[in-house]
This record gives sequence, structure tokens and C-alpha cells, in this order.
Amino acid sequence: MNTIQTEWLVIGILDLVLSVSLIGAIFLAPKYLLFGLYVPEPDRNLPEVRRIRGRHQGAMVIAWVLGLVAGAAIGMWKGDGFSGGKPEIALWVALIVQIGGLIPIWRSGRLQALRLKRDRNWSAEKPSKIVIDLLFRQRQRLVGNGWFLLHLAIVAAGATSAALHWDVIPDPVPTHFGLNGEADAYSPKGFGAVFSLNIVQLGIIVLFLIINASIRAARQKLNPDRPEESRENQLRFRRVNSIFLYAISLFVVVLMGLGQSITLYGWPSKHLSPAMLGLPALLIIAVFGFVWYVSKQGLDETGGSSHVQEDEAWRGGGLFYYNKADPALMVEKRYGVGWTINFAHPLGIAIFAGILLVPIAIVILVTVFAS
Amino acid sequence: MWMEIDLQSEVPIYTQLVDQLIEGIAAGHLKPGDPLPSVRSLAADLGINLHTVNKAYQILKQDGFLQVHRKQGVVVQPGGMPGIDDAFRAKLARGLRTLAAEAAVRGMTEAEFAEQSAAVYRQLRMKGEDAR
Repeated sequence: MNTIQTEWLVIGILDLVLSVSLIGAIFLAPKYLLFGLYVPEPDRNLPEVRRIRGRHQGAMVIAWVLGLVAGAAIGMWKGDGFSGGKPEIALWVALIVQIGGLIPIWRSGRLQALRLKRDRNWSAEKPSKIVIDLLFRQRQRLVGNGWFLLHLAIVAAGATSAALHWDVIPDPVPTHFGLNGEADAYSPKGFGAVFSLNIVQLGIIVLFLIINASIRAARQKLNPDRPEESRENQLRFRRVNSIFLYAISLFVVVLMGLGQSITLYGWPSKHLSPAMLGLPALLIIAVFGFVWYVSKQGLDETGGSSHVQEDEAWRGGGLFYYNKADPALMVEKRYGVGWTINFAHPLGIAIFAGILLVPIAIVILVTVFAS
Repeated sequence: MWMEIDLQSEVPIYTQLVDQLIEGIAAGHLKPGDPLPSVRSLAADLGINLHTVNKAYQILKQDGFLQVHRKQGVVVQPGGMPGIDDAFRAKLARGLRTLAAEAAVRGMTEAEFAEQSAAVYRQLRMKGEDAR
């Protein structure tokens, strides 16, 4: 297999994984939501509801398959068995067809769901009581911030080693590797080229510290009918979540340390590049495995508080939670695993900006240092 | 310690909070010096307004059951609970008066009324003994 063929393969798999996870997310969406609108229990199996859901799910699958076909068609255009052409362009075409198809389909589904909501007067049921454990936060056993010192030690080791072996580092430094494992871009040896990965590592540590803190702050949501069981589930879920994120962050930091060693000390990239491709794949598999484990164990109980079930609190087609009446900063998601931000909270926008700014800051810092 | 808020009750939410916290102290679930969640965190967990929680905490602070520190946050009164003063006796009499009136109208004897209140008191104290 030549380089371009490998590239076609990797990009094909990438788009396939994207398609399967998106379509999976659409099909696994809970029955109590129809295009981001809450459906009361008795109406969930209504023929109209099923029709809206079925028709749009079908259309989405068709759009995604069409995108894949379009991408593959570009590859087969020349008839040379994918040994030429431009895989990146094919990916863009596939994504434009897929995402471009998704948006109007989603909008149409949302409009029909809104009409049905109006006709049938849907609204979320109000709970009659709320039960909480006053000592919930003291009971939380998350990964402590001190454990991130291990990450810092790895970063420090990488940076110190680079400083000590300055003379061994080639000039220019290889900064980009093709899919076949050969360096295809170089930067002049300097502070930026040598230490940029350490800066990225530090940014990742900050990001995961923020995420860990947000798990700690997320509101408890207990089922009033069986508070003890649901408290144990939530405490376990938070702990598992925190440990999983810790492991992921450690994995990424180590991966980048490895990347730094390959570029600086000429470690055999030929043998390591399959690993560099395989390890991120492992990461994706780990995330899927985690979500599967959590849902199988029933740790993340679906259905949130009455605040979260209000359609009006979800903006941008159900993507962003904005509820002035809800004092919580981190709230349970309407469906799916984990928590989301309440943008109506004074700190909501700040936290979101923080999460968004960390990667942007990394990119800016790296470019500034590299130049 | 569990807290349960009845959203359909006629009793205001801040009163429910006050009552349950005092009961928690009486039953020994909350001990002197124990930290309580911040106003923000308790409001978030219950999904109710910040002012409601603040009002409950302020009432308990004024009566001397809680201390609100700038740094340590809210804690159960560590230096001895407030004693029995005239104000409390008056409040107790007011509360009992309503209940006694209804008991009398319904035909309950004085002995039974006294026995009932003693039983409730004993039950709370017993829970406290267990917790200790």
C-alpha cells in the first residue's frame, strides 16, 4: 500500500467513525425527547411522534451515506485504486454533503415537533418533591488535584531533558509527520520548536483541572422515590468519571511526551508512527467503552430536574442550557452522559470561554514561540 | 442527612428548610461545628432561588443555631446552642395554642394531648441518642 492509499484508508475510517457515532447518537436519543422537545409519557408512542422520528432518522442516514459515497466516488474517479488524488478534498466534500444535509433535516424535524407540541400542549411534569443529601459534597471521592503533579513531573522531565540534550537536537527540527511516518515539515531549531509540546501539555493539564473541578461542583440530582440508591449511583458515577478523565489526561500527556522525543532525538518514527496512530484510536475506543459501561451499570440516571426538562431553557436547537430560574452552574444534561453549563449563571459564559480559550491560547502561544 | 422539600406544600420553602435543619441538629445528624453547604450550592442542588436559602440561613443565624463565617462558610453553632428564653416560650405557646385548640374541638383529652407531645419529643431525643 502506498502513502496515498494509506491516507485514503485513514480518512475513510475517520469519516465512517464520525458517521457511525452521529447516527448512533440520533438513534439512541431517548424517547422522552423529540428534536429537543420534551414529550410527556402518554404521547411517546403516538403514531405522529413515531412518524416524525422515523422519517427524519431515515433522511439523516441517507445524507450520511450519500456523503460517504461522494467521498469514495472522488477517490475512484481516476480508476487507479485510490493510489492518487486528494483524500483531504474528498473528506471535505463528504463532510459538506453530510453536515449540509443534516441541518435542513434537523430543522424540518424540529418544526414538525414544535407544531405537534402546540397541538397537544406538551409540557414537562413538575415534581412534587425534591430530596437531597446535605452532606453529598463531603461524600464525593474524586481524583484530587495533587494527582496532577504526576503530569507536571512528566512535562518537567521532558522539558529538562530537551534543555540538557540541546546539542543533540537536530536543526531544523521535524515538526510534522506524514501518515507513513516520515517527517514532511521542519522548523528552525529554537525555543518554540523544541518546547511547544510542553506548552500544549500544560494547557491540557489546566483544561482537565477545570473539568475535574466542574464535576465536583455539578449539582446532585436524586430520585425522590429511592434517594439512597440514586445517591450511591451518582457518587460512583462521579468517581468513575473523574478517574477516567484523569487516565485520559495522563495518556495524552504521555503521548505528547513520546511525540516530543520522536521529533527531538530522532527516535525511530517508522516504528512509532503506527503507535501514534493507534493510540488515539485507542482513546476513542476507551471513550465509547466508558459510555457503554456507564449506561450498562445504570450509573447516569436519565431524566433531570424539572428545570432541565423545560424546552424553553434550551437554546440553539437544544444545544445550550440557559435558565435564569435555575441557580446551578453545572447541571445534568438532558440526555447523554455527564453535565453541561448553565449559561444564565454569572459564571457560565466565563467557564465556557475558559474551556474554549485554553486550546486557542495553546495555539497562539505555540505560534508566537515558534516564530 | 437527607433534606426533603415539598413543592406543593402550603408551608413556605424557607420554613421547610429551617424546620428540617433544626430537626437535623436535634436528632444529632448535624453536630456542633459541622459545615453546611454554601447558599449557592444548596440552592443549586434543590433547584430553588438563592434568596430562599439565604432567608432560611439568616433566620437560623439570628436565632443562634448557625454561624456564618466569611471564610469557613456556614457551620452549625459550635459554641453551645441558644437557651430557652422568653421569646422561645412565647413562640412555643403560640404554636401549641393552635394545636391544642384543634385537639380540644376534636374532643382529645388533656392527658392524650400531653402524651402525644411527650412522645414526639422523646422520639426526637431517641434519634439523637442513636446518632451519638
